[in-house]
Amino acid sequence: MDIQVLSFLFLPIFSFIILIFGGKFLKHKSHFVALPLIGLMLLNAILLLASAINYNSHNHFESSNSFQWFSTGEFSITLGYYVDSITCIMLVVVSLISFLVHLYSIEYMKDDARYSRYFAFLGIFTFSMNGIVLSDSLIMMYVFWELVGLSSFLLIGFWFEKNRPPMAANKAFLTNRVGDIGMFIGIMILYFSIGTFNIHDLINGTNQMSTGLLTLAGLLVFMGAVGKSAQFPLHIWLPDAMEGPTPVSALIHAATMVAAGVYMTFRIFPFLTPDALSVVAIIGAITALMAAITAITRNDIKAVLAYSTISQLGYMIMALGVGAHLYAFFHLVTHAMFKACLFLCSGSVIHAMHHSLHHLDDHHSNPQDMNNMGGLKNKMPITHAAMLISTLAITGVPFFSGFLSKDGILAGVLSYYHTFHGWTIILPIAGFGAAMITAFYMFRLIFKTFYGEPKNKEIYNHIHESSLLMTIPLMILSVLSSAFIFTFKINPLKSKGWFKNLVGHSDHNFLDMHIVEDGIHHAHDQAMYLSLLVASLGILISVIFYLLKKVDIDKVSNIFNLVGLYNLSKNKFYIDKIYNTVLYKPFFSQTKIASFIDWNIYDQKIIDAWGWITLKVSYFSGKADYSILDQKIIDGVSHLTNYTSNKMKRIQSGVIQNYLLGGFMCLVIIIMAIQQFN
Amino acid sequence: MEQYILSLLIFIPVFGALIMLPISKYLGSSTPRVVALVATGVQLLLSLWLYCNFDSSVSIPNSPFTINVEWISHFNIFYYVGVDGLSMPMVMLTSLLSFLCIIASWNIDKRPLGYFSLFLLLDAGMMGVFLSMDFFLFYIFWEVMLLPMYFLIGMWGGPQRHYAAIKFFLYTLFGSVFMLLSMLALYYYTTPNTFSLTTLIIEAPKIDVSLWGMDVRYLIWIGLFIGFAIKVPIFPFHTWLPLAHVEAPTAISVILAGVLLKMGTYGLLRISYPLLPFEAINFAYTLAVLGVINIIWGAMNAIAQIDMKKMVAYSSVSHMGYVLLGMASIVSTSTAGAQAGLNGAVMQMFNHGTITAMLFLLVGVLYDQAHHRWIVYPDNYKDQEVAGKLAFGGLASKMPVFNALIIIAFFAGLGLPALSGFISEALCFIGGFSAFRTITIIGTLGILLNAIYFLRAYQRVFTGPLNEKYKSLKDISNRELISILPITFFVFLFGVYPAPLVNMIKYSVENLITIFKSVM
Repeated sequence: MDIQVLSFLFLPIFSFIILIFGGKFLKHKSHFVALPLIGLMLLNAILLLASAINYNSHNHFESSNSFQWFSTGEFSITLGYYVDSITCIMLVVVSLISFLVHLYSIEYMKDDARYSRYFAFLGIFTFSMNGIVLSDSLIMMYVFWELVGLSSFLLIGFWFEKNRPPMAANKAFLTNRVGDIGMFIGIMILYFSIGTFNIHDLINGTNQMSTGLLTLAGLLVFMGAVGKSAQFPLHIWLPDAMEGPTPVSALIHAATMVAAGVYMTFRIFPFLTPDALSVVAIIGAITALMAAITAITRNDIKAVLAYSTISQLGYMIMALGVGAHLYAFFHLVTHAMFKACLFLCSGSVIHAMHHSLHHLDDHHSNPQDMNNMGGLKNKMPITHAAMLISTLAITGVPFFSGFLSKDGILAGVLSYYHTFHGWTIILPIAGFGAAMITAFYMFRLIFKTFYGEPKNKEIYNHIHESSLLMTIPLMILSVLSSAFIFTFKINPLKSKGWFKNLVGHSDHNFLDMHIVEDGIHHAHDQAMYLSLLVASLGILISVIFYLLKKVDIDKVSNIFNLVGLYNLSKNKFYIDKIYNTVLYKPFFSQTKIASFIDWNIYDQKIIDAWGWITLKVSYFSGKADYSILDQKIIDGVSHLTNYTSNKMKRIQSGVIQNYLLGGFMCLVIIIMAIQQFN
Repeated sequence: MEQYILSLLIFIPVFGALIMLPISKYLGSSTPRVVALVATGVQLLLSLWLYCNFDSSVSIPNSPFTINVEWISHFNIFYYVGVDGLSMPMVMLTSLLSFLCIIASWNIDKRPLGYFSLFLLLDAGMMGVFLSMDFFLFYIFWEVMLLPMYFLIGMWGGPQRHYAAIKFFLYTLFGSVFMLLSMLALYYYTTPNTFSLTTLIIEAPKIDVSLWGMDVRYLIWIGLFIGFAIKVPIFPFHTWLPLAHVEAPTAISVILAGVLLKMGTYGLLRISYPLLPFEAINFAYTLAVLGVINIIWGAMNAIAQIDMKKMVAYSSVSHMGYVLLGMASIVSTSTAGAQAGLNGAVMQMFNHGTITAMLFLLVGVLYDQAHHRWIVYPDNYKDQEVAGKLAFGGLASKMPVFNALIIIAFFAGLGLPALSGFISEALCFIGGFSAFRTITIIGTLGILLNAIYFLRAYQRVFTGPLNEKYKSLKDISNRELISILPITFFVFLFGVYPAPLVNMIKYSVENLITIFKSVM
């Protein structure tokens, strides 16, 4: 077991090490190292999942092991893995998408000068992501959490000769660090209250903490997820992260890394207090709705998908908040498949556009701008089919995977509202509203890209379908976007199946999960009809707007703009601008002021003033010493002596009479003095 | 061997400096650097031997390496040297960095004889400080090290070297005066009058006299604190540091930041803490606050810097703040917290030594080629056309190996797990948190602030379109690589597997905590 589990860490890190040091020699053959290693890992993951499925029919599948990293006596940190059926599913998801992205990248990146570096970075990413999945303690998770941040930094900034990717990489890393601070503080609070970093011991030990502190600690740890899973208000980095190569966006910024926050929240879910959970739900709801609204007005094909990812992550977080955590995990898995597919499809389109533009020697047109596309359906049939399937999945159409998981989430949200009433109405509004908007903008994307007349005939003429290396992953992922894969049951409306059995049931420290699950079960039918209604409504509007073009879009946007809604969407809710004026600019001028105070004022004026004072004092003491003490007083004595002797020497006139007179007068004075005394 | 090894560690560099003087006249101009290389190389081998044979659980009086012989018997002054878990990492760090710095300064051709002989004297002084167990001896070495440093900055430094050297010298000397007074007070107020640190641990807490209405022990603590705080440097005594680091030649900046700063915190842990535990407890809160000020203020200033070396210098101020926070956690009621903090502090001393050495060496490599190290040209730059603009840009494509190393160094500096900075910073925070919650939470902002300046500098210098002016830059040379790779190895090793470092430190830390537990 140990070897089998640890291979998830060793295989990808081997790939990284070999390619970093041997990249010079391997060059464009680098995938011959990376692909077998990741393939082996995928095989391993499937075997592990198979054994979990077999095991599960009898008992709960669990395995763990740990060793001491270091110990200072009382304080020690252990590293270890914890594998249950959830872990197995996550490992398959990560390995599978990583493998497909490796495969896809062989073609997509083939002209890149740093081909081997690219595969090396994919390796270190897969390593760190598996680390998060396997961690049995929060501190170990934090370690891999940061390493995932590093790999994301390296891959977003992969094309560093351009201006924007490095900036996007910085933004991603720093925004994530804001969340990480919270996570770290939360971990420390939990450690000093319960005395362990181990997640399972934490779950069992929360009765040692006051509920208020536990709420705080839980929310602080959740802050890490807000950063990594791009939740409001830290979601700003994800759209920028699209500067990375598109396969990277598929792997990291859609399917796996951004889901790490959801996974982590899923792991700590049992000890999140009801108060904390309601905050989690609200954050998820805000994110889901806001990102969906923003996605409507994007014209960059990847930006639409980026905001769609944020929105779907919002769904998952909201589901965790309302207690539908199993559906959150379900959605994580289905979303990984169809969103990876969507991104890889968009990559296929961009790749084709890029080649066409290259052929035309056009360096100005943006290959990602949907306004340059249109009608690509005939030119790229496989890409079109795959993208359509995954769009149907994300929209929540029956027979596709997204339907099952999204339905469960919406049922959870609805049941939460049924239980609590009041303000919680905003959750179903956000949930169903975002579902409708999702259907709308996703079909907008499909119609603008693949349907209608080509916007630019010349570009269109040079578009070709991508090669098999790129389309095979698309085909595999679109098959995996079907509902059947997750149930193995014929009924497309029921989510019961092997997946749900495997995920099973879990407990919560504060909630009775049976009641919650019953509530979700009861709300299910209502949620299903509602979600089908909003999805078809969204698709219908999109068809009218973009396929049939019956409505003038400008007019509609003007109508929306009467309440500022269109501009709000266009400007991404002004969040970047607000941060820029409220946070970044004041902060950087603060640092300049700090530096000015530190050097120009404190050091140069105050510290050096001591030197100046010392110099002045010594100048005056020197002056006093020489000009007064020496020159005036000491020399004064000699001057006096000199003066007196000068005066006195006149007496020595050499005239004998004067001497005799002087002697005589002295004698007289002495005699008079003696007489006086007597 | 065991009895002589500590003396050899101290005096081999002195010996090297002494024989260098007469022979280099006859043997040619490269004699000084060869002699220096051999001397520091032997020293490094000896310290490795010491590490292999050293048992961290044995305290200094019982250790076979300890030497305690009379020196000036009339005043009860001993030549008393020993090594334990606090000094062992510092000994390793000193010998490693000295050796690598000799390699890094191989191309010094301005009066090499003076440079290398002074460097060896500096090395001896540092080693002496870390090994002395007699306060008087400690003080001697402390001062011995000052003079070569003054000349090394003042003669081989940058354009403002005279100003920087005199500032460094006077600042440190100012602190030394207070330390001297405290030392003499300790000597006179104890019976028998002694400088021995192991005796003073027992005798110093018994001092019960007051002077000018104040407790003498408290005055002693303050005096020692000022002396050590200037070296660390603790805010507000920190402004000598950026200037001295920027003006010093590369290798000397490495020694300054890598070793000299640690003498301050080492002094606090070796002398102030065990001798005056009661005062240390009273002072812990202030120390934690100062530590957090160091972290935040240092990082804020680093963000504002446009000179890469000055940025790294201010990052040292910030990183030494972690050490202070970790040290302050000794008052924690949770033993696990106190252990985490103290071990973290000593580990951070070592890890910051290696990381900052990497940073300074790399900046030095770039400076040697480009002859400047601006991130952005200042507004009052002599060439008005480029003033206020990006100075470099896109170097990553011209210098791939250098780029990889700078990524490692920058990410180690910002505390990325799997590199050594992370674990010690995390331990300092965990320790600090167990004792002072609010302050530590403010301090965790450092996690973000430290990332900002490193990443910004990386983005501005190494990424983006290549600046045409630098298209002829060459990648790092083999000699430079040799001087940096061993440090990189340690940065990785203690990041991935910190247990050897912890095992070296933990028993001494435990002894220290025991002393504190007995007075709390």
